[in-house]
Amino acid sequence: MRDDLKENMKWSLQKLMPFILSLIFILFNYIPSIFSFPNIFRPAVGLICVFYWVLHRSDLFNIFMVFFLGFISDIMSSAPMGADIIAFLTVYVLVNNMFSFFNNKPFIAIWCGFSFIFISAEFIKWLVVSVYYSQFVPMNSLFFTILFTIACYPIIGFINDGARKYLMNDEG
Amino acid sequence: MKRRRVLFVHLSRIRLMVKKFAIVLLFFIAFVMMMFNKADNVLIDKTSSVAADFFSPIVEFLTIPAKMVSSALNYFYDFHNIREENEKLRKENQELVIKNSRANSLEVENRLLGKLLNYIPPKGISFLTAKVVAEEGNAFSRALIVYTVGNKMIKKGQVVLSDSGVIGRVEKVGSVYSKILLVTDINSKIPVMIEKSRVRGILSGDNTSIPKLIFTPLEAQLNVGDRIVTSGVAGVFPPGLPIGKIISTQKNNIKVKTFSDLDLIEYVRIVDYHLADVSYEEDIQKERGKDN
Repeated sequence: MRDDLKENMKWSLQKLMPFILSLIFILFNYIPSIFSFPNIFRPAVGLICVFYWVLHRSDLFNIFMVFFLGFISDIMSSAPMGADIIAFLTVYVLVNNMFSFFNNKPFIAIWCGFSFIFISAEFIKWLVVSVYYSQFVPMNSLFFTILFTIACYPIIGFINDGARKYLMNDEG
Repeated sequence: MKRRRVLFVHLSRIRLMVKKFAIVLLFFIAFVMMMFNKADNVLIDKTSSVAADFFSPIVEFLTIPAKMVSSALNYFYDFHNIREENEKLRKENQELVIKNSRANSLEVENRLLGKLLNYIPPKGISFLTAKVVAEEGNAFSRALIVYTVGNKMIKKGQVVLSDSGVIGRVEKVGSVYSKILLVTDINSKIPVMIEKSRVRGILSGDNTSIPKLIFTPLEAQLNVGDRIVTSGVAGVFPPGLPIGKIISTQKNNIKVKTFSDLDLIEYVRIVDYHLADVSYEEDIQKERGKDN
């Protein structure tokens, strides 16, 4: 009985692993910097995680999880509430619609696909926030964030890949 | 068998429809949240404060490895520079002793003159030093989350200073953590003036690391290097607090560099100047009543 309970708990935790990992990455992004470098060099790790897990394990990463992660990101941020949710949901919708494009593609193609989806999501967020403030938010810092996030994709992807492989091994 | 297949097809269609409906619904909820946020809804404010109180300790916990790396690096750096630093501090100390005695005599003089003019001095300021737990800096917002557990002094709109000058104001107050809006955020608009010429303007953030000076008179003489201080207009910030200096005076684009490095703040000081404090105004009324 106890073993069953343990097994069930372990399985539930494993099912939540993509969500928990994404949450940690999102919160990690808010750590105060220890070196003096511009804050724009903070990659949008939340969007990388959403892209990765929706693409590779959509069975463990549903739309409600995506919404909740966006909500947490909005809470921590001072940007208008809902802006991150919209960006996260946009990534979810675009990945689902381009699923066949990513199927059996090499890493470079997935990276390019991520760049396209990420730029689209950030552009939509930029547009929504600009409408909210009734003025265009300057694009120069957004440009750096986009470049830095695209450059960071392989690193964050590699960590997520490790977690996915661990999950696959455990599932047999 | 055929019936079962038909049922399966029906179920998958229903599932697809539910999924599509969920996407539309969640987008709709996000837009509604935005609208409520725009209208300064209390529910959104409360939810945001409570949730930030819940998630900020996790961020604080995640900073532990980063802090260990930082303190190890700082240890070696400080060890290397200890002699130079000592010499610098000794010089600074000598200067401060002279300035301190001058300040003391000015304070006495000020008190005497105040008495002569029957001047009621402003209520003493109170402040709180808070540790930065999380920071945010991207194209959409610039803010800090600080640890202010159980402190009832903190109120929305209070001035936040670093060791070099104004860095922002309190935006949201939670029971454990508070959110600070930096001067570089797009929502930040601070009435300021040039220290020497007393030319007034508004320091406006635009989510870049360098805020802009706007609404200055067309004929105003602005030079690179001019110090910017708060003007005290609107009564939120007291006058004379240093913020930064002008670094560019191109047409319609006057850029100001803050004295504080906003990307590297560990502790902040939240100051209550009692500027719009009703209780203090009542105190003054009572005092005047007594005198009369």
